[in-house]
Amino acid sequence: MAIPDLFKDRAKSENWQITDAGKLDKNITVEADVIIIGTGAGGGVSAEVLSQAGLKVVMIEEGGLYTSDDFNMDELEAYGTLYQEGAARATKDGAISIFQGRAVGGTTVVNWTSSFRTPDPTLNHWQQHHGVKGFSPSEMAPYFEQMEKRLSVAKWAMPPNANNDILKQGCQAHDWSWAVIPRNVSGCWDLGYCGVGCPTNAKQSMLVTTVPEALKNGAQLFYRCSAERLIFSEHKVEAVECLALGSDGKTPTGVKINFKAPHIVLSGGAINNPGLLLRSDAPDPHDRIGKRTMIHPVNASLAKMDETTNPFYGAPQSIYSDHFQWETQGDMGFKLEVPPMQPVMGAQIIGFHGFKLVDTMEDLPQLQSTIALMRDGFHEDSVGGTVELDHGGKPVLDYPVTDYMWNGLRKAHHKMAELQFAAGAKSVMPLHHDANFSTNLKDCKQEIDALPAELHRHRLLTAHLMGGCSMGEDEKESVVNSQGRFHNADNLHIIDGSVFPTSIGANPQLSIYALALKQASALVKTIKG
Amino acid sequence: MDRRQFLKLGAASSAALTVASVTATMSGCSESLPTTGQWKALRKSDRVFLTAVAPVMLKGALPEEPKARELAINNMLAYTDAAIFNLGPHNTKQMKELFDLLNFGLSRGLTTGVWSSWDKASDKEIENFLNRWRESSLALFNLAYNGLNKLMCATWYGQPAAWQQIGYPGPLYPEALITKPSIS
Repeated sequence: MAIPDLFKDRAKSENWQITDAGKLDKNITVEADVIIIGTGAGGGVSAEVLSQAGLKVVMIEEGGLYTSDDFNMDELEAYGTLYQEGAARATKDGAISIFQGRAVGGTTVVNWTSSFRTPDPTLNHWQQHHGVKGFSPSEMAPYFEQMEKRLSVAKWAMPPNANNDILKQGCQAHDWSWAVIPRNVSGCWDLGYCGVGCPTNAKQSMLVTTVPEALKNGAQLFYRCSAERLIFSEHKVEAVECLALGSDGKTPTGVKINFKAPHIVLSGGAINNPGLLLRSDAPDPHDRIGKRTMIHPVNASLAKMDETTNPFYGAPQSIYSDHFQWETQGDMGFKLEVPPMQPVMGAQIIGFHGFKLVDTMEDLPQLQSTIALMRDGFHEDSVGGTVELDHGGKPVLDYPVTDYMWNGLRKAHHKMAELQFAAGAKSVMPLHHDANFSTNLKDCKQEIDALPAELHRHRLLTAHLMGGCSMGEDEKESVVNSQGRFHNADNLHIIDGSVFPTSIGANPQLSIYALALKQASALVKTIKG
Repeated sequence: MDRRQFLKLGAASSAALTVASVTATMSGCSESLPTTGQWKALRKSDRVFLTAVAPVMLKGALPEEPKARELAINNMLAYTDAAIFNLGPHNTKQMKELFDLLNFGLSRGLTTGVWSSWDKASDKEIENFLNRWRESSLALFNLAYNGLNKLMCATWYGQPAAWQQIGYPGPLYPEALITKPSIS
């Protein structure tokens, strides 16, 4: 084919050590210097740093190994194979859809490439309110810089697609601040299919960067290998017990793999990390595991435009506005962005049936959607959700929506409608069961104010899972210290977005990369003395 | 019907939802999930339900021509089966319970207002059921509606056959970038 599958080609020519756990026919024990559970933004960077230091690294991944030849810009195929719970993961009550990756490379394989540094106010807030040390803006700057270089992060130089351009026009009309989004791409074709796996290897996900680098350095990768339990002894993790999953990616084959190492790095992400710790009866004297899980709850507004938008093509996110992010006067802050709208993603958010659905879908090439990402975790009425285990031992997130957040969501609907009408929308509809398209701003705003603040009627979703294993120096308030070391086991480090004490206030991938670089580099020093 | 009567009906439906679904499961009316053959998650009764409801959920979208419509629905069933299986064991079980409720006469009648079997229900009855669950004041019905709605939207609009009508030309550069046929 025109595009070489770099991963597969290198795996062969460089003799990488990769094992499909589902193909093992008997139980085995694997030993290494460091075991890393998870290969997403946290695990990928950690694997690169630790293997570069000459340590024997083993990477464990629950999802499958899919590479560029497997990415066919096919939504059904991708949602079924590359996402947690077939892209149908949701909060405990089913009210908020959760889009989280599940594959070698984790969510970085399916994210939309937006790469923001952690905002200064967020870092300062962690220091002032959550007892986090070493994360001041000036201390973090070199880590952001290094990861930006490593992953080719740069402001998108091509013109934004129409979907993003409307966001820009709306902001300009209102004199709201906006800017171009930095993306982690190299030689991007501007296709628009980042969410279903990049078919050209342009996206600098962990799948094409750090995981290959670790493998080149002699690291081993076990995929379809699901971490079931950490075995704790006095202040130490002795082993990681894993279940091999069959070729369907879901069904355990019955084979168990036991991993042993002096150091364990947990990088399974929010929801799954607390899930593993809870299943393992990890020591938790202050009942902190799974608490303060943040999700940047997202609501959306749909506009019909006069012009052709083709919202399924082009870099999915290239323009954003933080105009309502920090100057909030006590309201919940939010970031404005746009989502790509391929047919399945588009149809799923509309929430109608029959002619109302079909008529709206027929306008797909003229639709524009704006989303607001609510900045949760910064206010006493926004403390996030709690991860717990269901009867089958599966982690579920109980996420309450408070009045404070409903107010923020309503304000966001108003601002999105103002933006879309200012950019020339013919009609606008907030995504809610009780909403319809309004042809002028006045009607739309009346409708927004009348919408019942009810879960299951308001279309809410999240693609940013953070927290649940908060970092901080106070053991009563956190799960790990500022270096990522678990308070109750000296050889367990948690390195990924699950340690964030609040949400980020921006798409979190670069925040995770920089944190992982910092924590893994420090871990190298600890191990090597 | 005033709001009070509606709420009363709502409460009754909610109780029926729980009781009848338990009854359906306990009384052996509930067929167990397929373990062999073509289907991994959908039972025959589930496929009958989906075949009846999909053309109403997607009214105006599915092809009119009988052969093309049959193919579209069969593809939806295959995708739905894979999708439900991919939800993982916990969610698959919840979907099974929802289908049990929809397929067991008493619970189907009480909660959906459809008293005949699904293959004999009229489009009007099915549309009333969808509206009833969508507009219900009970979150549980909204949730179930959302689940069915998303499933049917995904499995139809994910098919190339759906794309012409919505002006979606399909992925860019397919000759260079698509390396294998879609899963089916």
